[in-house]
Amino acid sequence: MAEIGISEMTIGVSSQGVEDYSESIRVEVLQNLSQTLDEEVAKVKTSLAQAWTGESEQVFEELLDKQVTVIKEDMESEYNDLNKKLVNLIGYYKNQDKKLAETMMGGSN
Amino acid sequence: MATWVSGTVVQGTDLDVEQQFNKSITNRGERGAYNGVSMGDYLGLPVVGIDANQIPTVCRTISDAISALNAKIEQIDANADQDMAFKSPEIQSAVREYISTVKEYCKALVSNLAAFSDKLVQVKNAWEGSSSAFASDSITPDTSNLSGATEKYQSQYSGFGAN
Repeated sequence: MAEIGISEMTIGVSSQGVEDYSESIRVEVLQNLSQTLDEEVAKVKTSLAQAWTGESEQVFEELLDKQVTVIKEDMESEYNDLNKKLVNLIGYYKNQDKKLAETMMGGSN
Repeated sequence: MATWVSGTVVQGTDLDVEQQFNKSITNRGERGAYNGVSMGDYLGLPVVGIDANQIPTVCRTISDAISALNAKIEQIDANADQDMAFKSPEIQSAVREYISTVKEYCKALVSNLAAFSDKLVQVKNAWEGSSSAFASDSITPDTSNLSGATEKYQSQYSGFGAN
């Protein structure tokens, strides 16, 4: 049983560590930022209600909501891209380990 | 419930309100252009317009929102938990750089909200510009039209409050 962990390594990867890292970025990018976006846009709408009313104002709010949705979707896409890269990263390390094993097996034959 | 007192029922009247109205309209001379639209066609929202004085406040709220979001984006910490995920200066640097790019992209996305602030200024200008145009197009008084108006109606029942 290995007694070395990622914290003692100088080169290596921890699947669980990458998962935790990815989750912390997800929470920051998608959850906290998205929540702040909703809160701030709600403030804008409250302020807007004091200033403007009419069909054109309703269209303005609809466009604002659409823009917020676009921002959230784009942020989610960015996060998904990042997550894929991190998963690929785990793959690189694992392949490296596997190739080393194959090389050693080949060397022993 | 109302109770009809015997003897107070109105049997008829010489006052033909419709005729009085028609008389006024006929005597007034040329009417303003009638486009076939009635008040009922403009039901829906009971109030339409802006408080131009409030628009700068809304613009500031949008600006504050962008600042708050940028501050939140800055809090995204590329270094958090990195040591427990992967060990390699090159990898860590690459991930850090990638997340920095994502943060800049997020800021660019959020900056789109500034366009709404600009739009509000345009809306304010449009309302202010149209207000004077509406006044001249729609309500500018033509006093010559009023010269043919009928005589002022005199109430037949003075003492009941009507003049």
